[in-house]
Amino acid sequence: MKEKMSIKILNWQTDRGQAIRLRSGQATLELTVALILIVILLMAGVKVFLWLNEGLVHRQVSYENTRVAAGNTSPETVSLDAYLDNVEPQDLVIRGANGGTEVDFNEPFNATFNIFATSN
Amino acid sequence: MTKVKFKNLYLGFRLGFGSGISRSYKGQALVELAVFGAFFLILLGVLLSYGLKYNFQQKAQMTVFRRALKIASDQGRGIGAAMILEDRAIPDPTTMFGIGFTAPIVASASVQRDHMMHAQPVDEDSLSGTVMDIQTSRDGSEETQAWMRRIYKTAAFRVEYLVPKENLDKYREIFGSSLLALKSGGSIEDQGSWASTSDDEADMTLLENGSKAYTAIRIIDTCSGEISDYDTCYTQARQLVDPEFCKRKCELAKGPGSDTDCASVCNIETNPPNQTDRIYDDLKGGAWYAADWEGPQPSVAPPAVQVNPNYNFPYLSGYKNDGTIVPALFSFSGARSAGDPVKQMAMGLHSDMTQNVVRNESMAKTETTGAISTQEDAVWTDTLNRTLVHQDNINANGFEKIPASGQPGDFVNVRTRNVVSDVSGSLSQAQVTVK
Repeated sequence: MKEKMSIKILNWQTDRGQAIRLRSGQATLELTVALILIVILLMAGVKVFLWLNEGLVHRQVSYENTRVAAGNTSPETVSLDAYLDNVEPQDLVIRGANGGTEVDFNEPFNATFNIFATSN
Repeated sequence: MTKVKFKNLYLGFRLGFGSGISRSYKGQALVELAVFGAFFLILLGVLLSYGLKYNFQQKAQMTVFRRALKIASDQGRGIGAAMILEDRAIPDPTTMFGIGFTAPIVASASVQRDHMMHAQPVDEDSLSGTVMDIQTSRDGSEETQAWMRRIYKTAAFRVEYLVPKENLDKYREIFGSSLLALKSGGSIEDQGSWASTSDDEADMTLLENGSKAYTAIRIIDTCSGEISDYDTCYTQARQLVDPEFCKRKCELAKGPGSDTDCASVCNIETNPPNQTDRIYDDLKGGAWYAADWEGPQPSVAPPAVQVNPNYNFPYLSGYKNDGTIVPALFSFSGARSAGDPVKQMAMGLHSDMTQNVVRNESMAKTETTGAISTQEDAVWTDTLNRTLVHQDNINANGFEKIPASGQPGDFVNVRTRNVVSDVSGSLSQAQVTVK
């Protein structure tokens, strides 16, 4: 009875004898626990890998989507706001997986295209 | 007993001849999982860290290229350069609460359109420069960020007066013919007043000796830019004052079939400072950064010590060979001037920085007869201090500002700016376990 209980708790108690006795099912139980943990870790690793890869894919799509707008010579002038502090460059920011395929690239309503404007 | 210990040392794998099957010991698999699991967690951390950094880097690179492309799409400009610097938090499972560390992400890009390859900048806007977007704060929990934008010109218009026609070849050799223009009517700062060096309609002035000189020439000088490079300026200055050095550079730059006589071109004396006159003449407006130049110092024997084996340009290096400290674009002496004791060997945003790391982590545990509740909080802030060095020397039309004193040292107007970036975030977790 005592031995059965020991197996139940994975036999963590110390043997008093010189030799360690083989208990039936011991390795199987430990392997089961270990495999569960290994599979969880592996799945976490795969998930991280997939998440990072998705970012690359989504970003590539939005990168290509902005090609024409960024390279277009119309309108003729692109003004740069020089010497401004604390300006948030929200425009032309290419997003990754978190933002899906959304691209913060807003065509302005006014004539001058300002890629650094905080709002359009 | 000994045998058992020996086996345990090898985590229970049986050695030698025998059954060939490992025996199981209590907790054997879990001990192995603990050992290898730790390695696996580290591996996971490395994967996460590398992947995130690669993602942030790629995002920054793509964004900055698009910005450069948009800047260059301006039909009057045709070129564009941009840079992004941001500090991102990279989680690390091996640190407490997985907070990790802050990594700087830097990306830059420049674009030049084909049809503008040989076009010359004509105004302040079209002068080469770079747009720097620098993150000044980022709060991962609040999802807020702040940025600072600076635009610096890497060249400016510098004007020289009364340049004899035959001297133009040396200017072409040093600065490049595509960066020169000749005054042709109008005022100096009027962009329509300048003509190509191949144009015969340039304004000429009759000199006292009866020869003719160009009234003014405009040079697009990289040493007059708001951000300049010591090596480039040194090379340029030395070509002006050392004909042998000029000749070597000229021979190296010669294309196949070129009939340029490098020796005779390099022996031409430009407006001072030049190989014979070291004094800057504000009426002629020469390359002020080469003024008061000092040649290689001879060996002193005994003992055989060479004081300074190289050419020294005080307004570039910050010192004279006699130990005098002068205002300069760069400083190798430990002080640029008495009032600005900063050793500054490069311009632009310096990559070296100081980083203050603050981590506040707390855990509270409350145990009642019915339940155990825990509350864990972590607040962290990384403050990164960088130095941004630039000149403040260009007027609204892109011309180098001329000091009223006419002294070369007064052209120097270096600014050192401290750029602070705060990266912060917080984590919180509560758990209740019913007894």
